[in-house]
Amino acid sequence: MASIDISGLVKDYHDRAGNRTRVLDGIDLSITGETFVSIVGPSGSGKTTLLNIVSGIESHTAGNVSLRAGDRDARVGYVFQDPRLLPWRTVDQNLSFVQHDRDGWAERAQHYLDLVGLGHLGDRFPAQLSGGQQQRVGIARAFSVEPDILLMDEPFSHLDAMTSRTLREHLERIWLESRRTVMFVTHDVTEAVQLSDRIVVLAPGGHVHETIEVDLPRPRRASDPAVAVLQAEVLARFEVLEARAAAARAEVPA
Amino acid sequence: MTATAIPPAPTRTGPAPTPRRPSRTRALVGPALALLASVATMLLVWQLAVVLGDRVPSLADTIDRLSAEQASGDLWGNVAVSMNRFVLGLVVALVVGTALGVLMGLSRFAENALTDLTMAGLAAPAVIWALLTTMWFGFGWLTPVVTVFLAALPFVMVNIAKAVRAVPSDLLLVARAFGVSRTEVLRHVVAPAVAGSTVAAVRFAIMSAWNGLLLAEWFGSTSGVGWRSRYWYDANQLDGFLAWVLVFIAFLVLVDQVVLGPVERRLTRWRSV
Repeated sequence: MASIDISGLVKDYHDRAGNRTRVLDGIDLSITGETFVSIVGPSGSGKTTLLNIVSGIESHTAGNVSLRAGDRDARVGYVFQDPRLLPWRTVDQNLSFVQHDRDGWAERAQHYLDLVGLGHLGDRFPAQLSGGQQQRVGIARAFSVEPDILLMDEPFSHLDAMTSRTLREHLERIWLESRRTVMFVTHDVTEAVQLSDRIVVLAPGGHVHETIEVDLPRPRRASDPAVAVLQAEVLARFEVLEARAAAARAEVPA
Repeated sequence: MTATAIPPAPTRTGPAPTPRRPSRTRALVGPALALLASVATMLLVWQLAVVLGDRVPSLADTIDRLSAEQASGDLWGNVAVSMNRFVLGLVVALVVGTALGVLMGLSRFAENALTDLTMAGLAAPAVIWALLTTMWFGFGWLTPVVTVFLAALPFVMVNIAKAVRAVPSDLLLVARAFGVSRTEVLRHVVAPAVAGSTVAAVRFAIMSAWNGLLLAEWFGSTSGVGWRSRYWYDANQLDGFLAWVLVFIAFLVLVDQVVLGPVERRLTRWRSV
């Protein structure tokens, strides 16, 4: 069983003059098993930084981050905000590029491309695909490495509303089939409620403000009444937090 | 106020059209026609110069002279000597230039230290290197080889440094996030990212080096294409001189069209899909 354990995580940035800015301030978070957890929070609350540290892309100042799958290190898949495909390689070759386990990768790649509806486009270059199709390749790429843990950084934020709704449905369907441990960063509360088992709200200053359990049946649709009610409730709480953040920013002298 | 009827949108029956891609034949014929037009224009201008001037030999006379050079063994012998020097100098320039270019691309210190020198190297005409090496090394194989090296080096450095700086950092982060090995990153991210600029580096280096080689052989050698051109120049025989100019141009065009062009198209195929 895969798990993400974060304790006392601190991240500071230093500018050229040596001034310190604390982005994450003592984050404690534990995600275990087949759980879909969304991280939401206002701009500047350190969501993406947290994800980058968990993935190993960024270093941290203090604290511990552990990604385990049983008694070994967890294998990680990552879906970025933008697709980040190698433009000089075809869709199939992009999936091949990230494989550690070469056995049966072609079948895995084809399987996940089929799941995102792009099974017939494996020989295309990224430039021949639309933005939404490229992002679907990004999702298939992350799932195709059979990750124990899947990290996703606002993967639908650059897409139009219709495309992102379709991709959310794709994502939920694949997740229900494969049941990975997911850490999903988003600024979209609707998205978080529709996809998550748990929503972790980060506050400005980089600490956990609250955790909301989402106990609703799957698959979910944005139009389901129960989903809509919870969305409204979370959104109201989120707006209070954003208002506080805006007020705090206004008080900081220029 | 009158109501205007909006005509219905035109409807299409049958399967959706598939986007048309240019055929391979069409992609090859276009550049070939352009090259043909360029050569024809050059020959036309030459013929005009023959008719209007009295000091320009005709194409036929020039070809005859080239045949005579071939019959006497001077053509291929001198071409071979020049190619030998050219390849040696160019390979060393590519190796050293790539190493320095990578260093400039990766290190701000190296970039600051080498940029002005490189710019000076780019600005210096090849004739300067040819004269300098002749004075340094006299009449020997080292003069043309070092000239080729010096003429090509700055072009390689500049283009490789530019290529290294252009490796997309977001793709390197993808590789890191998925734990892709360094070897795979070099093969599949860095190498393709620098391929275009590398071909440009080789292309400019070849032109500048070939130029330098001819000048070095002109001033400081007793063999090679440049020396043979000077031989006919000193003899005041324009047909002989022009015959060697043709060899000079033919080499550059052949390398560019037959070797570098296809390599570049192959490496950057993904851009034109």
